[in-house]
Amino acid sequence: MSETTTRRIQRAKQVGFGIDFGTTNSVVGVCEGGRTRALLDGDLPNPSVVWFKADGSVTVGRQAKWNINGYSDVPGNNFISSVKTHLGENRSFRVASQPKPAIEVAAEVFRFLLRQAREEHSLTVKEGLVSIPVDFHGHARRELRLAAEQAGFYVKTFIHEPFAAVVAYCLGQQGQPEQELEGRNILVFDWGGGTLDITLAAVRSGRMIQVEKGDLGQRAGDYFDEKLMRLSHHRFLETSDLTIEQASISASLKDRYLRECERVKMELSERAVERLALASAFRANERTYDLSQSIARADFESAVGIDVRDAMSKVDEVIERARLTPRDVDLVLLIGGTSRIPLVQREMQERFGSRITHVKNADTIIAEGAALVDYLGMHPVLARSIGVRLSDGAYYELFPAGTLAKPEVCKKTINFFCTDNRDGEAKLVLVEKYEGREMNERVLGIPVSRELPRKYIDCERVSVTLSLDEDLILRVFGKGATQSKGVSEEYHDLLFALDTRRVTS
Amino acid sequence: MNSNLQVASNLMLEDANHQPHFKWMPGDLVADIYKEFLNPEYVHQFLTHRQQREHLHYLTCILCGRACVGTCGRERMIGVRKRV
Repeated sequence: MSETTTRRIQRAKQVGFGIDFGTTNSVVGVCEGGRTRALLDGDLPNPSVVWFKADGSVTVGRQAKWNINGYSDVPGNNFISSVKTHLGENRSFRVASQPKPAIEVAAEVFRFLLRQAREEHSLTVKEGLVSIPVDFHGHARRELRLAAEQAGFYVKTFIHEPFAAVVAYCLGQQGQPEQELEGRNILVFDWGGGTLDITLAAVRSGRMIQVEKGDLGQRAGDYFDEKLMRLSHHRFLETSDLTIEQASISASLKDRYLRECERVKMELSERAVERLALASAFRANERTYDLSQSIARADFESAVGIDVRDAMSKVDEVIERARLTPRDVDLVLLIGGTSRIPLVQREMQERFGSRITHVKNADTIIAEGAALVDYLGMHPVLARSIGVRLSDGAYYELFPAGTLAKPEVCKKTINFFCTDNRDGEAKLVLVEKYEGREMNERVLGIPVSRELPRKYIDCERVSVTLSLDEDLILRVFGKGATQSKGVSEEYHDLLFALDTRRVTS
Repeated sequence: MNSNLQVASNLMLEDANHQPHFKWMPGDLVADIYKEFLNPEYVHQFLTHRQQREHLHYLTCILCGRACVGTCGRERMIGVRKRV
């Protein structure tokens, strides 16, 4: 381990915690004495499944997942999976005839994780980092934070999931010392149940930097389960004598069907053919119909082929935007269950060959990375400088790259004057800058008076306030001097870096 | 299809080095506010090259009917009229 890492560990606190609140699985990562581990259920991560039982009690994790088939049809029992994808949507579920907000369901998952840490590992987890997908929007972050707080966990800061993986790989006990990674470009391909996150990171002067990112919306594992379900249902209708109405998929059947599709999908990563079976799937003509089919890997891969191709285009796009070629990528980390699909592996192999690293702890590396960052007391800094383009085309820097991403540091109010108010709008052009290149232009139109100034001195003044909140969201508020109201906008897609030379407390 | 439009900033910093001044404004707007700039002599004397281009872009040479680019010099002698 390098000298700087050793020094950091000497200065670090006793235990660090990180939570990977995943769409499919959730894990608590722990870092003690510089060594990371994950709190697992046996040797598996905890499924993010919440079971609201008929008696009012709540079960989360593997127990809940195991009982979906047996209880989803029993009145009074409700199973909720993938709650993460519903955060920030103001979504409520029906539980015991009452609306249950997604935030409360998410809080149950947090409660379960904290209880597991306390009862099975004798660890009191009260605060730490929580990992999030790169494109997790502002409302979702706020609800995730609130859910954690409801369960008694304080989120010190968020960290992007793929970036946490890079940290765990680079600084964790299984990684290489950071000097050897200096100047390297690392691509993280994290395709899980809810999202595909692609992050290109680089190690420059001891700083781990997110250089570029990309995503594929919500096309991930859960979406593939639905595709497999549609494929299977279509086949069933072709071969059975039931009509489409008789073989409709009820809400409770859908839960079971999706679970079975998920299992089949996972099995197809290991074998060429797998049997999809659902007992008493449909009821018609006063009898029940079972569903039993053979699904070939080739059928599944042909159903998801277009998504995999789109994912590969995203990889190319991310590399191109960083002005690199696939040859410039030194290391590729494949993470997330969907990355295990043989078609995905083949496509990645074709691009990157032996530079793909098979991460042993792929299910837990994100939580471990988050725990390590907490343990070392590192706080994200801005990966790119943020500034404003002025009317003469000049770039005016507001926050330089490397600025600590904390609300008290990233806050500024600037006064402008509008040089051309004829369309009644001042155009604030926010720009990011990295290695001399300006990128990610965002325009905020701020209303101003349309009345022409009588003299240049009368140009309307516009006041702009920029602040980064604790959820790593940049809020911009602008107001013209003649206007009674201003406008605000928030940007959640900033990229961050970790300064491994700076430890904050 | 790619867009061929770009949003240009119309904000200028107001600090010790930057104060409101007509040099930061588009040339055609300056001429709208200060009618004296319609006199070609002033245009060449006070406006930057960019502002002159912006100002002339909206003017038509009354001799040839084309957009005035300010090179033939006729606009100085004969004058120009604003393009509708």
